[in-house]
This record gives sequence, C-alpha cells and structure tokens, in this order.
Amino acid sequence: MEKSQYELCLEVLRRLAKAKVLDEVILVGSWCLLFYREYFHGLPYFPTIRTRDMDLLIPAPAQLPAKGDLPALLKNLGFICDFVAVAEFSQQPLIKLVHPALIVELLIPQKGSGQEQPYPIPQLKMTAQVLPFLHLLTSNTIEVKIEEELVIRLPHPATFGVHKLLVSTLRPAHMKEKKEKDLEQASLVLLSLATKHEEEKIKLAFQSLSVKAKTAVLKMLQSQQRDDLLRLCQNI
Amino acid sequence: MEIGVIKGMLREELANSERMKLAYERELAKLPKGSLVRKQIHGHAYFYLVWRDRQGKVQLKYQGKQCSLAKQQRYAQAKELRAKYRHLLAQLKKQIRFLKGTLRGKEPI
Repeated sequence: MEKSQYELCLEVLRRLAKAKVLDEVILVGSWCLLFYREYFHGLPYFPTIRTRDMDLLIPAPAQLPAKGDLPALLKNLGFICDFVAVAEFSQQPLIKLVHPALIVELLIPQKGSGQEQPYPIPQLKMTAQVLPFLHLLTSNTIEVKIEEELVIRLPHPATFGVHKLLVSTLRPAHMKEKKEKDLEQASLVLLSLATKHEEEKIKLAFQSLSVKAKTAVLKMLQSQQRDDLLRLCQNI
Repeated sequence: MEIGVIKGMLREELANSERMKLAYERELAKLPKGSLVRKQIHGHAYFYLVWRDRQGKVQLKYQGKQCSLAKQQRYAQAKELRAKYRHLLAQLKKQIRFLKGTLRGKEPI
C-alpha cells in the first residue's frame, strides 16, 4: 500500500499541476516530511510515520484559476467527496476528497480571531478549513522538484518546525498523542536543520512569532525537557 | 491504560476508514443500476439494460434499437466507477479489520 499511496500522491500533484492549481498551493502537513528528503539530501534524515491526510494550503484563494473542479479532476482515481459538519450551526460543510489511501483537504489561513466556517473555494468546487497561524507557513517557502515538470511548494523546514512547536502548545489536554506527534515532527526537522548548520534560519523563524506564542513554545519545551530544541530556538 | 502516540493515530485512522466506508457505500448507491448491453439479433442491434435483482437473477429491459451516445457513456462510466468503488471498499474493509485488531492489543504504544 505504501508505494501505491506515494504514487497516488504524485498523481494528485500531477493533475493539480496540469490544471494550473499547483502553483497556487503549498503542501503542508506530514507529507512535507517526505518531500524534505530532497532538502536534507546526504544527511541522516528519516521521516517518521505519516497519515493519509494530504493538506494543501491556499495562501490566496482569489488567485486560483477561474474554472476548476477538483472533485471531477480526481474522480477517476477513486476519490469521492466527504461532507463534514465542522460546527453545529455551520452554514456549509467542509468538503474533503477521500480515498482509502489518501484524504485531500484544503486549508486557508485564518484572518482575525474566533472559530470560522469552512471557506468556499468555488474555483475548485470545494470548501477549505480555516485554521489559525497558517500564515506562518506562507511567509517562507521552498520549491522542491519531484520529477520533470512537477515542482511543489513546501514551507521552509525552519518555518514548518517552528509552526509544529506552536501548534503543539495549542493542543487541548485530551489530544496528547497529537501533541507528541507535533513535537516529534518538529524535532526531526529542526535537528536536521541544525545538522545542516542552518540554526540561524530556525532562530529567524522563531523570532517571527508573537511574544505570547514564543513564551508558550519556550514554556512547553522546558516542561518537555527539550534543551536541544530550546537552544535552537534561542540560538544559544 | 494510557493510549500511546501510535495507537492514538491508529484510532483516528480507524474513524476515518469507517467514515469513508459509509461514503463509498453512499456513492455506490447513487450510481445507475445495471449496465447497457448491445445485443446483435438476426443482424440487428438492440440495446438492453441488464442488472441483477434482489434474488440474484439477471434481468433485462429493452431500451430500443438506438441509444444516445451520452447514455452509453453514462453507463460505461458508472460501470467503471462501480468496479473501482467496490475494489476500494474491499481495501477499506481490510483496513478496518486490521486497525480493529491492532487496537485490541494491550501494548501502550
């Protein structure tokens, strides 16, 4: 299943590229860890387990091509629409494209505060989930060439790692497993960056957080006794 | 007993798979029943809709000497999707069985 899952992921990316959508999205989430292999080429970098979630961040929905249909684009690969009610009085559901090997979900950075409804993306006949702090991932991106004519945008590993640390602090108490997974992923990426002598980039990414966010991350790292990550964030 | 990181992820994947199974079953139910068949009888072509009834018996319904291309394509696509969805549903059922079995284990991983 693993090889076919990877092939399916590539095929989804190829179709997005053909529909001129790939340039407008950033691949985020645990699939980044796999594609960072190119960035950490030659280093002992071993991505851990990834889930079926394939998260695509859209920094600027208005810039998407005018006419598209993501469900139709992926239909003959076996993807179907799953409509998820995000909140009790949600006006519209969150639409995910599901397949036994992969779940494609669109994300949008939250503007302002408070719980937001799924954001409609009529250009793709989908809706996107609105999440806080995603703007951090759009500020600094890298391009990775997977194959000829297939180049994907990923958050810079430093930004990805720092974002994971921040998200880890925001998880509620009952989501301990997700919290640990966030910390594990952040650790993998940030320590690999340190091996590559790019500690300065980690420090810059950390400095871009708000004072409140920085305090929360440092407090969390202290409570988890992660002196290695503390040193990287503070570049001591 | 505390659920470890791995089991937590597996539990989430099980919930996803169970939800997906229902979604595929809904999509299968939406597809038009049966397939369009072109029979050649005494040198003439006739179109029939063929399907199995609840007892598993093959049923045929005459559709006429001609059938629009759009209708033929619709049924051809439905046949393809039905096969694909059934295959994926079988994969999902295996996943669910595997995940349930793994989560029954007592190791706190």
